[in-house]
Amino acid sequence: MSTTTMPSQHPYAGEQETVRRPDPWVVAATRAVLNETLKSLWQLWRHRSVVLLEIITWVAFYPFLQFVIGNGTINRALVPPTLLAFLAIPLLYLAILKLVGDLLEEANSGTFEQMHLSPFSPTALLVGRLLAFVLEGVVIAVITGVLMTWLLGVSIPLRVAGVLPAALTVIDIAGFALLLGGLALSLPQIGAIAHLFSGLIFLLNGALIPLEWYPTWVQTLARVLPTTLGIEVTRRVVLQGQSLGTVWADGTLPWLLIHTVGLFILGWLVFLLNDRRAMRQGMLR
Amino acid sequence: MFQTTKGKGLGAARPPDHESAGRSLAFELTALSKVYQRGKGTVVRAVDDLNLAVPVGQVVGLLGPNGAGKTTTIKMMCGLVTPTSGRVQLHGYDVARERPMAVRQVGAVLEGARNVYWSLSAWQNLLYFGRLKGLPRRQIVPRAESLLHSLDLWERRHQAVGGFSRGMQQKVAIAAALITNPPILLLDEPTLGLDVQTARTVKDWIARLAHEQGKTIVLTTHQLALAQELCDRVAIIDQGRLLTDLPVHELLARFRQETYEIRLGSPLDPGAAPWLDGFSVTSEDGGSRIRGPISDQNRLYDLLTQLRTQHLPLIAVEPVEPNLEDVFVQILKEG
Repeated sequence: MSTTTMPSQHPYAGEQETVRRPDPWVVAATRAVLNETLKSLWQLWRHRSVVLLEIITWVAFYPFLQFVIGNGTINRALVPPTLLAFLAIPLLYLAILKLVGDLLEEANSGTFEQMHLSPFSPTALLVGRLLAFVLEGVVIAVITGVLMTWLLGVSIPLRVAGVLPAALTVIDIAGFALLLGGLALSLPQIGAIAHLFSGLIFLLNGALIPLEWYPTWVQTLARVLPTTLGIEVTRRVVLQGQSLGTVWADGTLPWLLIHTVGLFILGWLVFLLNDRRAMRQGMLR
Repeated sequence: MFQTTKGKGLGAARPPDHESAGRSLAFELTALSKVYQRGKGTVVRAVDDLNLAVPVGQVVGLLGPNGAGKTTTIKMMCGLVTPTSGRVQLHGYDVARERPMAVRQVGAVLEGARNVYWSLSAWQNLLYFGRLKGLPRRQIVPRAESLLHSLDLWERRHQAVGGFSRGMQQKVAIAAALITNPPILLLDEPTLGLDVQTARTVKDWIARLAHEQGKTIVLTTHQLALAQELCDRVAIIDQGRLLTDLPVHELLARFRQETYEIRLGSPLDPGAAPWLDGFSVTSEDGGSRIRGPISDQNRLYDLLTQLRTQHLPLIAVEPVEPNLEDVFVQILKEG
């Protein structure tokens, strides 16, 4: 037997406080964005066995891959450059596939509409959600990196200067995920496209063999794709010890910056426009 | 209960310029239209020049047949569908121009949707939806505790909503819509698919929200008995157009003299009686009841002649108080 006791007439004690002392917009917006991150982390925790399986699979995948490419042996000289490139892959897969899958599922289940009842921009909220997947990807990348360098007996020097290109690579991935997320609102078949691009990036960003081993035209194509430029700059700074000034002067870092900022803005705009289009057409669900 | 100064603060609920002589509008739809382009040259006019102004604290039933435009109207009200033309104002805030403030005025439970995250617990859902609207945890927690206790969900608050019954999931959805204590609640088919007991709980809740907390509630439902019981007024729409918008008692009074009930001593198949168009037929205990509008004596005699021709045993003919279903059928028939 259900009871129907109501909250009292003025149960929302906090409301009066809000009226007297409203939170600044930026504080409330930041809280809403981080709320999305927290929600996604709750969901990941709810499916923690799957996350654990993902971590194990990714960690095991790299040596297996190098073993196959090396025709039964692992060439240690190739480990540092290819491992650096490989570390971007789980991040890319999780950000893209989980975000797109998440959006499609939410559109089907109806919670995507509820997200739009927030006073804050859906695009900003989506970035918060993306942050959780990036966090999961970074955890997997760190575990893979530490374990592989230890198991394979190679070292990747930790240089502070490497943080900048690495961070730009992460933002680059986030921008690409936003772009595909935006397309998911108007293309229900986006899953196939997302898999195609993820596969292409995996093949060409240097995770299998160093980028320089490919023909020039393939290298050019690869640099247009997300992560390749970021990995290239990170590799030169971390493994070859070049300074940020050097990679800036030869134009590699500026190109990475342009690629990252451009892709992020493009992703933001595509999501925003497709979201508005869905609202015009009554296709938000 | 609500703030009376307009500002950027999160608690701002109602600007003073929309208050007048003790009567303020909860929401106002002005010349609201929605046209969908479907395929080449196909135009669907889902909502057509809808005007509706509702004072604070009323329960409004938005009724109509399937495809009438009810859900599109509800979604335009909460900013989920962009109107082709016209304006929606919630407590004086224009949904198109002042969206952040406008959406704070509403909580919504939408039809056919989960509305909440099934992989999260009820507690996590309430925290999430509170913060989504910009509230800090310290304000959400007491409200969430109160809602979960009153909805009998407290003991199971940490369980995933996906494992709940349909009725419990709907309770969580309503609690999530109420977590920020919005002055307007939009409920699209809130009792759809619920068992009798849970539907009654939800119905009692809606009544108390309106009468004890002064919330303005917009309710769409096909359960006209529910609408009659809960609503202060009813707006009936069909093919996107508003057919009527009146207080329930006034609407029923208009049709009071015209509704008759004819009781028969044998069952009647409405499909075999096309002359009963516009009447409702119910069968019970081997007999049947025909109920509907009879505007003059000639119509009544015509009907009785038909029954006699069919050799249907007549038990009684009497004028009855019309219910909302009678009125609804009649209004739709008149178009």
